[in-house]
Amino acid sequence: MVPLSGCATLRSAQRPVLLAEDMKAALADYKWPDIQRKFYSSNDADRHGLTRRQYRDEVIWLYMRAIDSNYAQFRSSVESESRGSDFAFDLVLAALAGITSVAEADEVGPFAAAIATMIGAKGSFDKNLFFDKTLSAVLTAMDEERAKRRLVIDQGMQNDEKNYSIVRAMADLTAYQEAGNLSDAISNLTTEAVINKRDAVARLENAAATCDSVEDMQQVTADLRQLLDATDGADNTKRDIFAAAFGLPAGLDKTQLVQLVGRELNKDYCKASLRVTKAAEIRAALTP
Amino acid sequence: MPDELKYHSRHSLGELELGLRNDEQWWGALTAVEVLENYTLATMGGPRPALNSLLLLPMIADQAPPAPSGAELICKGKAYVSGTAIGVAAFRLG
Repeated sequence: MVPLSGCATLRSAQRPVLLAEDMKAALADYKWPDIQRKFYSSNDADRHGLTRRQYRDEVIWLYMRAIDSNYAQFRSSVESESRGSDFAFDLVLAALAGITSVAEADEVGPFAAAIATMIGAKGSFDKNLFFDKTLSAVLTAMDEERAKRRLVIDQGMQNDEKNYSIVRAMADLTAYQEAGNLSDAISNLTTEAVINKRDAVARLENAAATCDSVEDMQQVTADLRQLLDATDGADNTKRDIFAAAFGLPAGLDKTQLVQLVGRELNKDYCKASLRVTKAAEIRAALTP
Repeated sequence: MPDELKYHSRHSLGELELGLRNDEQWWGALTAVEVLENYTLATMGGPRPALNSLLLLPMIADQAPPAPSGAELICKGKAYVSGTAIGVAAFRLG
């Protein structure tokens, strides 16, 4: 057993050999949009003799290392801030007690600032939920989010440069970088507590539960809209047929139908089956 | 009269682009995109555009990527892509 001195300052991580500043400096020759031009160049010499795929992978690797290095530095600062000061939790208590002025928070580091932002943005913030989910949970959530984003990049790199271009890679790297964000991590943990259910319209609830992929239904949607547009005129008969297909009352004008039928379509915006069925039904009913 | 459409946060960029293209055929052309709470909010209105004419590309830092050949920038904003809010630029072909 090695006794720990009560006076020793204990760091939560080893001192880095690869410094964030060095990693960022290594990106000096890999700036956007210059890398896009080099990536698409037909001459390998523009990419230091690398193929497009090799160049893409090199860019991804360099950016990923720089982001990781930056994140490690940031995470370390958050941990030391939370151990070194009770300010963050005092701030939470103060805010929850009804003291709303948190302007000074910007001066005290990322954790306090993130909490201040959170409290400022979420009036219905659930304090019990927050205290159940302490700092380690927030950090874990942040790490998990980064791991998910990292997986997307790793999977992308299994593809050739045509199916995973430098543009897509840079977008994924941006997402990877933004995943290391305290506000989002806290927000993700407390989303269920703060979401305003009244705003969760049927479209979003249904889509979130069932809409894992989106079908191409541009054509059938355009067909449906053209059928509706063709009902324009003084005679309500055709519009009533259209309305009946969606279980709507007769006597609606075109503007009302656009809104009300659109609301029905919204309930199933990722699946084409409803629209195909309705278009066929209406077309048949309108055909003499 | 513009309409606002909501998209959940898990869509990939391609899925979101397709969802927007689908909805444009009912609600009219995309005019703005932003993130709100935990979803993407798109504003649409006016004439319906041609099929497959919308292109959604990620912003790099605060810059819109160069316009693809034959396309023009419609709007810049933020959208949830695979769970993360990122800057996006919407272009119209033709």
